[in-house]
Amino acid sequence: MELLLPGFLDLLDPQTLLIMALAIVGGIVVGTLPGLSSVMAISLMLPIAYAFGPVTGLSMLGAIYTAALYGGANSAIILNTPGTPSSLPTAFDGFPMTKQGKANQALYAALFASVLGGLFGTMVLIVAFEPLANLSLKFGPPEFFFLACLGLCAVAAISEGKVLRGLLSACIGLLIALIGQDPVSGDVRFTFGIYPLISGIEVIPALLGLFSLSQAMKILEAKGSHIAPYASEINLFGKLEKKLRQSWSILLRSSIIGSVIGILPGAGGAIASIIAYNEARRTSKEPGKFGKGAVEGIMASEAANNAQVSSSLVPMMGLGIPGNVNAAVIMGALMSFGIQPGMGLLTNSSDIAYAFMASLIVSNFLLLGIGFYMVKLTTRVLLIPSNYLGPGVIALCIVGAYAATYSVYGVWVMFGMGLVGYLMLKVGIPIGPLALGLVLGPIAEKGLAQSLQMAESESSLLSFILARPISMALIVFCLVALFAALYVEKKTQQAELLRKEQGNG
Amino acid sequence: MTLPKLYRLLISLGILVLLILLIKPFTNEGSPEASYPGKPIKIIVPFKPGGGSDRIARVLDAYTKEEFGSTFTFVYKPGGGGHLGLRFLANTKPDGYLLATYNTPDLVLGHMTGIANYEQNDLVVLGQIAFDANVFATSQDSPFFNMKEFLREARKRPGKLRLGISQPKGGNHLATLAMIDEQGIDISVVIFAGGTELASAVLGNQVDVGIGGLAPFHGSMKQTRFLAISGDKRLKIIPTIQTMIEQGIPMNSGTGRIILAPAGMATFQLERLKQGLKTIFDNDDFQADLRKVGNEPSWLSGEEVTAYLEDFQIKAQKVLEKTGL
Amino acid sequence: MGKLQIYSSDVFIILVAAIAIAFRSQTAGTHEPFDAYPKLITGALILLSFACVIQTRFSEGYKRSESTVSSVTKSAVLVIGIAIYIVSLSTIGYFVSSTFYLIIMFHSKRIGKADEFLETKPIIADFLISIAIVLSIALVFKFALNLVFPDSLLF
Repeated sequence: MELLLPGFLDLLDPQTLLIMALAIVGGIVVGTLPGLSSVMAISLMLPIAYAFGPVTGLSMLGAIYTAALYGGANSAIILNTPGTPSSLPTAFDGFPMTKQGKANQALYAALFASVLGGLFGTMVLIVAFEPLANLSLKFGPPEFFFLACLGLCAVAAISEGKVLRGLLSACIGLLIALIGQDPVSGDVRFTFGIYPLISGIEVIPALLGLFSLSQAMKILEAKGSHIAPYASEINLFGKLEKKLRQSWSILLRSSIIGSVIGILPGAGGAIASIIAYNEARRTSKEPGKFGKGAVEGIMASEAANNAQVSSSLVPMMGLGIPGNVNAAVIMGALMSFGIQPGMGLLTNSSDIAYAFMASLIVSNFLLLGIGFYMVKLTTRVLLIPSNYLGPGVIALCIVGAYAATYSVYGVWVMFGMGLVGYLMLKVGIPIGPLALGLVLGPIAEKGLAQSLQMAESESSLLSFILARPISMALIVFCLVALFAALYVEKKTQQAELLRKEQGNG
Repeated sequence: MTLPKLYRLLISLGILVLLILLIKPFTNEGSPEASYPGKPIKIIVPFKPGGGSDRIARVLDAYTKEEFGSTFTFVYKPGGGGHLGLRFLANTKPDGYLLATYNTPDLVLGHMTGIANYEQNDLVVLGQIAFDANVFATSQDSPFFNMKEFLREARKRPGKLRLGISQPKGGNHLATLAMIDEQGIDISVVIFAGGTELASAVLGNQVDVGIGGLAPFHGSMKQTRFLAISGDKRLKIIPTIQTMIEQGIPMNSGTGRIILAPAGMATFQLERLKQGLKTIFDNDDFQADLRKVGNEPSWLSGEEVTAYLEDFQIKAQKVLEKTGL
Repeated sequence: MGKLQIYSSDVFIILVAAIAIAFRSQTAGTHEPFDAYPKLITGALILLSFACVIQTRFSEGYKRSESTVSSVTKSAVLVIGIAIYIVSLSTIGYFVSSTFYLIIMFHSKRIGKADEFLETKPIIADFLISIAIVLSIALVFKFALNLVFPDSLLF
């Protein structure tokens, strides 16, 4: 801990702080714009990071990463499009809030939750990255499979009451995720002769199409002149502060979930926010309001995905094994400065390591300040008439899909998924679960295939799983989540019946 | 539509067309100066950012400004084990401003396993700048200290040991299957999606031994135990570890990092690039930087690489038929 | 007779089931254990399709009002328009096709209003806004992020 102090002092250089502030602004913009990912921004800034030297350079990259994961909430809330896959659950409650005129509340809630989650995750990183890195190794293929299953248990939460159709939608997503190269066997499948499908239906353009394009088409069809009312709420911060204090358990739980899942190499931010969202709903006293504009949903999702930012650096710094693509690129930057991440980090380059970790704390505070003012800009989007916003969003989606995949094929993926999403909206099948299936499918498949391969060396699949305590724990979590979902459904139906009777009586 | 409206429509269209014609001459992407390259070259990294190929390309990028006048522009095109990006390169006009990085022997393996969907001859190898040897690794909890011991145990307990492979249908997958077949052992193979995943699995004891590149283990050298190097040369970083050949097991596999260009480029452009690449390679700082990211500098000219690949193809064909990949 | 009526959701779901069956037939060639997961998913999807179709017969909430012919054509035109835009993006070029697309989209909203459609001021307004959007998107993607637009005829 004492080592942190010199780390902070390193950062007090005004040039570093200015660059970090600019990085936060850039990161928020990148996160907000659909199709742009934090990875792209970080990769792009790599040469500039080298030029600035290790402390400033790494701080800049960390700031971009932090801000971008928050930025995704903006487009999720205002446009119903997750700017990054990790903000997927934020859209489920964020957009309904916008439609209800509460966009401001939603955006500020997302900001505060992100910062709180980020600070929590960073504290976890600083205090325990070495033991946690070793812990993360205990997660093997079976654990990842059950983790994905746990994520899929959130389907019930986002099916808008139509659970069976929600399951169908999730299965469609899982099916689409099958297209392309099998991640484990390398076999090419389900491409039906169209070669570019070998890279599969990539998540970012697919989400763009599914949510944003279908939403834009709906906007253009709708009668209203604007997508949602733009209203200033009175005593916004008073209400929000009260909400935050009441929801401290949700924030804590989501931050823990985000931190735990973040340290698992390959898990990713989306699983973290999805599971956090589901858990928040499960433990809430009014689960029925989730999906209709519950600010708690936003807080759960955003706290988790920002906690995940710092914890994804845990295996990278502890073992040199990056937790996700962002961590991988940052690791590359570390290595090019001659710093070897892993066991030697604290012995050989502790000053830079601690300065970097300190910079993550500073980034979160900068995010709070800068994000606060940028929210005002973001809500102004609601002032744009739908006639202009609709086509504008379509154009943005198309360019975003191209940027995310460097090819026109990505744009067609977006287009195709947009059509699918639009049809599903028309026909009354929820599209949220499809996104869930698409994102979690590859993790589930890899987990299953590799587990089956591993089980060949054991006497039976059952004995193999029973011998793994983490898997058993996850299975228990899944069962709890499933029963809770059924219970919530029952209660919601009863409440609906009650309301109808009271309305008629 | 009324007449005035029709007029306005036609006039608007006319103005737009005029504007387009006026702006068009200014939109050419900057004509190259007299000496090639003159403007930034795009390099395709056919994987996700942050991976091994990306890091090597970035090390190269640090020296391109000095040598070629401007840095690379990075284009990421993951998919198909890298062959999607290569297909893009193969199908582009060879104007001399688009290159790609990739690996051997996956370059030819892709065609042999049917993943690649372009003509092998549409690409030309400029040169190899690094070589990442394959290593057999376990965690420190393992009872084995070299591959001979491991194989002995595998013979005693057929099917009870797990061997992890870092990439499906890659060079080390093939070589490992060949080795397993040649040694006549029965072992459970688990395939992972990349060196990083394999490193996690090895360190976490999910498998009894794993084969992959050395680079992902760089951060955890103290917790990793290496059983053998798949090749004929020992590595400076782990000088006490024997090679497979020293242990009496014939196996030689590794990943060569190469730079590719589309075939059909002008000869002077090809020569300039090859020469520039070699000059960068000969720079000691470059080699030091390569080592910093966990790769061993190793130069082979484009022709040498092609010869090696032809040789490899013959041997690999037999193995592929036997293992049915 | 209410139970035998076919709804658009049924059509969609049956289509999904058909696709799942097509996928399933493709898994025939894969060796174990890589066929486990695809078979699981396709099987689940087929089962769920049946369940959903049956469920629609019995519950009230899923029967939605069917769309009119004109709204369907409007949607179809929208979709085809986007497809044409995507194609022209790589053939004609980003700036030109985006500007045209946006101007057409903006102006087509005015078709009903005789005092706005093809009048000078609205035309200029739509043109300027279109250029503004195209340029700002280009600013962020092309100039800040070095994105390379596809090679095309115009710009």
